[in-house]
Amino acid sequence: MRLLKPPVARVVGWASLAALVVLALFGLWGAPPDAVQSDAQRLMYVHVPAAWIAYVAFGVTAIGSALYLWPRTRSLVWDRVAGASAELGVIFTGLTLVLGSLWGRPVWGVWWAWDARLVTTAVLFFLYVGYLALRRIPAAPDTRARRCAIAALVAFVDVPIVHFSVNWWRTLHQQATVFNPELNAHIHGVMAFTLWWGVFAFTLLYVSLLDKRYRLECLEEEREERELELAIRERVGSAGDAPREPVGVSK
Amino acid sequence: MRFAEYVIGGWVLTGAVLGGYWLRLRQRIRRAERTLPPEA
Repeated sequence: MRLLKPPVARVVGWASLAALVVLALFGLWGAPPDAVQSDAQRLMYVHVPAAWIAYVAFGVTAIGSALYLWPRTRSLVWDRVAGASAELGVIFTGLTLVLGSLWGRPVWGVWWAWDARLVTTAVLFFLYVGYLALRRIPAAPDTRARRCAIAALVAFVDVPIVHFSVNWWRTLHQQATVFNPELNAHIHGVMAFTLWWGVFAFTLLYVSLLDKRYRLECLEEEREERELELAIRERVGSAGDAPREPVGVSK
Repeated sequence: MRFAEYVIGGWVLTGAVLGGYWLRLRQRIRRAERTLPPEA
């Protein structure tokens, strides 16, 4: 019923909280302001990790869905992992969009631009909102899992489009910076540390939240099964107590 | 701090969304555990 053992889950939960506090200290005070963007750049320490976790979450959803569809590994465990991770992906994608908008206003002068990166990210958000809606449509567990797995794999096609949109189209959003060999970017040591620490802290938080969301999914399924069993028992019991009359015999 | 309204707003929003989601999950798990019918 759990992805992590309870003591491990507790350690990951507290570690993610501690890591986020350290991130806030460095992101808001420890790291120096950017030479061009000044303090507005401090939003990078939450915007980039949120975007990273959105990719990870949808990647886990795609892997879980593929493992469900593959006959040798077919199990509802993979469907639950996919569903739990997709919900987290939607939250982190929404956060990425809002944080990007808050960063864009002082730097670009606009809250929103019809830019390839922004639009493909918004499409990604709505694709997975649709996936979550599909999960709520009542159906037999296997039917629901199969159609959701297919939908998740189709939606995942947008993830590389989001990532490479800044290279494929001329965009207002900057291109990849840290890992771009053409730029040979020099980043201040404390800024680099804070950015990577943010990625680490958000990854820990994602693991902790995924464990909780998976547990909730299991509990809700368990409740549905037990309620169904009780209803069947009550029905069978009441049918046994009722006086039996011959059917179709006229007096 | 320059652009403090955007920076602080963004960080507070991040904390509120993630903290709120974490609390909501914990609340839903506890309720699900409490209201789980006995095994038939």
